[in-house]
Amino acid sequence: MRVLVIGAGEVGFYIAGRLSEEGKDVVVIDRNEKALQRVAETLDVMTILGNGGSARVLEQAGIRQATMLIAVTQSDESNVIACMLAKKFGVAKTVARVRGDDFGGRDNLLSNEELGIDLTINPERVAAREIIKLLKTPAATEVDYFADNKVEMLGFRVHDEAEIVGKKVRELPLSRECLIVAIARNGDVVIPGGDDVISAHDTIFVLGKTGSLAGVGWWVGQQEERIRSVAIVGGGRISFQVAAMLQDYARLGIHATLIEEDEARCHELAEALGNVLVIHGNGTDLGLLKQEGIGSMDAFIAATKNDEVNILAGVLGKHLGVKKSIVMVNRADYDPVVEALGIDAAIHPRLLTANTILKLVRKGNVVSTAILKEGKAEVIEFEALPQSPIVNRRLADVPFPRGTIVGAIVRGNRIIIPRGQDAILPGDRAIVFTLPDVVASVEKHFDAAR
Amino acid sequence: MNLQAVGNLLGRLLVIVGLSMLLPLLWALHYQGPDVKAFFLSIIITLGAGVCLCLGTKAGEIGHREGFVVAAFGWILAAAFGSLPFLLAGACPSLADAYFETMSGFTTTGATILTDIESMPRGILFWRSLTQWLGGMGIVVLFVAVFPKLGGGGYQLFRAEVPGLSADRLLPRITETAKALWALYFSLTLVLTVLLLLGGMDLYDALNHGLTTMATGGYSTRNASIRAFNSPYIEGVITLFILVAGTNFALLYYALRGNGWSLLRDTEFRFYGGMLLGATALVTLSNRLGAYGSLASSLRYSLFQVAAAMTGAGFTAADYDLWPAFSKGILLVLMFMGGCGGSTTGGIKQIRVLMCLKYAYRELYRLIHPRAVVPLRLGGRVVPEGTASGVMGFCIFYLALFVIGALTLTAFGLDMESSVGAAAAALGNVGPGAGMVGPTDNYGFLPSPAKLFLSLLMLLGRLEIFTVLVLLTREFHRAG
Repeated sequence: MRVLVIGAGEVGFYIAGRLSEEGKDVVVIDRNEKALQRVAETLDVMTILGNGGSARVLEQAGIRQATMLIAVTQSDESNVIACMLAKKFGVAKTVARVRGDDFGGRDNLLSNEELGIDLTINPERVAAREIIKLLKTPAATEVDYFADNKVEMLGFRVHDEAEIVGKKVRELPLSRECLIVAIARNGDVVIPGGDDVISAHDTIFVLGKTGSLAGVGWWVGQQEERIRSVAIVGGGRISFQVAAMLQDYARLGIHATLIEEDEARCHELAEALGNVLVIHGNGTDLGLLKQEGIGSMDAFIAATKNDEVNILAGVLGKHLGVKKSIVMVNRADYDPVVEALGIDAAIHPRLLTANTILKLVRKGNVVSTAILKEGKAEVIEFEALPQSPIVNRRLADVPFPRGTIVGAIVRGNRIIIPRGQDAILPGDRAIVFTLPDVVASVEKHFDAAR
Repeated sequence: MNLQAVGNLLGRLLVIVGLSMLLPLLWALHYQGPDVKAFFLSIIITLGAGVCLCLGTKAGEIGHREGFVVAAFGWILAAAFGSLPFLLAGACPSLADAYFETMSGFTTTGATILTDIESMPRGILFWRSLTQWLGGMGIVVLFVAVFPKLGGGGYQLFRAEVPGLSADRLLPRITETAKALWALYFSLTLVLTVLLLLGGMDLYDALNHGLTTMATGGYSTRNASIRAFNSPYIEGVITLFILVAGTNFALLYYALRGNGWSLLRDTEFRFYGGMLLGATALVTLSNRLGAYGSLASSLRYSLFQVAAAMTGAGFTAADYDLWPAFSKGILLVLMFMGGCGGSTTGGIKQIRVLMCLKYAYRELYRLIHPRAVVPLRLGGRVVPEGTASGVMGFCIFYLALFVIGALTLTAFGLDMESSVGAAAAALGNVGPGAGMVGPTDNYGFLPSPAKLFLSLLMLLGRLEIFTVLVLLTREFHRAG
């Protein structure tokens, strides 16, 4: 399967790497030679220097054999053109990153269909949704939903003085409705057995029925409190999306304060967001933060363009006493630092965009996926078909590859946390935890073709 | 540096070398030669060493630094273990001789220390030809084709071995690219072997010459090389195929996939063709006046030797030591130039020569228009300044190594012409040089240190200098 990726920026780089690891033939096209060189030297993909919106370049990249085109350049227009051309060449699936609302929206004259785009990704919206999820579940550092929101997976960071530090997984007072499915420790992810011991600063991932996991926050040393007020630093597109969503979801009852440096942008924001308090000032100005009473707020979101400013602001917020500090970071290599500084959660807009796109590449009976810790582990939700080899067998008898567990089975409205003697029946949804290098062999168990 | 990963890859490389010795073993068994035992032992030793190295280490990430180390040491080790059959069968009198013969094989140089080739066991001669064939497309490239799970590291290895300016990917995956190149190489060898069979060679000779022609190596099964067959047909077929092997394989791949015009439109290929025609015309003329009675025979031998010198195939169809000095001079220049980038030839490569000429001309142009902005163009495309300076650096190193090489050989007692010829022939992976190491002589009389020194020159020439030299810099080791 050949996939063309237009744009060798962070998103393109990450997507190309993941797809290549999964065995796809990837060709990356970009106009920037330096960016391409980085791709060529680190990934097993072909690179082509040129404009992805040119039919000649696309042909050179072998678009006639391609089954998918992913356009993630900085320019909306280039992405749209590349997708339009791809459809003319007969490419089955096209994905475009589109930031503006001028293309392909519901109310637009030119629909996605006319533009030849199967999926548009708005990275700001994706990031904003992620932030909202975190605000809804304040104790967690990561939140994902499966099986039409019936099942949730939360990531919690274990605090020093938490009750469960030093205990084995089997000794934890877990109810039968939830399961620790993964532990992230020093940048690695392990799928734990009963004898693994929890230590401080681990991030544990717990899977269970939505709403049933509230108690977990208490064991890890994190108080569960509803978020009622939020300060947002930076008035960029993501901040705007977050503020707009908070305004729309009035039932959440979260009040937002937005701090932006540029006065003109402040006016724009204030005009567009009626219920949001917009303040003109610098988000790392301690005096201003104190003056606005940021310390007594529940959550603090730093989402300026600059990673370093965000991290600094996040630390300042924490210092002032904010309960939950969320920062936006574009460079994933800052992750360990962010954790060490006591910031509660980091949002990576580019990785989120990439992961959203990767879901589309998955096979037909994969319902959704989530990717933990920059792809060190993966959660896949499968729909079991009558022909799938896995159905009607005791899970203990299924030869899963190392480091793979079935976290939950959703049967109608019931959620089963399976033990070895349980079996998956046709029509069930199974939520499987696995490591990226064995994804393909896990997929085989659910494959309908066999 | 990830030494574990390097060791692991080197171990696997040795396994490939060991397995490839099974083919000459078959010939040895077929002819019931005295070399059967030698091959059995060599295979066991090589495979044993490879498997031990593999099991004793852990596979890991390969960066560009590891790529250099694996390529350079891979070749050094392959030649060391590849020399076992020569030693154990008693074909080569000393360690240095055996190592020289094998390195000359793997680097497709074709220089030999053997005086009486025809007296050698058949298995040994086949192994000699096979080393050239394996080295022609590259053992590391073969390795990349065979072991798929190298990830980004595969490209680092590939790049460290493939000659020329850019290691082009034919297909998105580097493994697939390596496979495509090897498949093309294999099929061309097969076609050539059949053509040679039709020319009256027996299967053994046809296969041996097929292997060494496609590799532009030049090992023959006969003392008198191609002269022994005295057949214009065979000379013609071999000339054609060494010229094909001297072409960029990426271009051949595209041409065979139906894009034939791309071959003729390629700047390097045109330059290569022009160089061939021009040199042949000059040498033919010079030989007609100074060596041969008829224009036809002058053309026949001149074309063959011009093609052989240019592509670094060490075949001889004529004793060019008897030719006029002008003809020999042209052959020496051609030895430096080599074939196209991405081919199995040695030398500086046509594309680099062309770029040097353009670069030099630009300096001249700038004297007239001091403020002119003149990008370097190659076939309509602008060459990045970084590439151009890389080419300059390569040429400087190449010439410096040639001078050092020739000088060192004079210290071993060779006369000027022989030293210059031997250094150029070793560095350019040509094979026979001039004078004392000319087309009818061999390298057997040289002292052992001189043989090892020439082996090093061959390796530097085959891996295009930088891959080997970078390992000797302090910076490389300091960087961790």
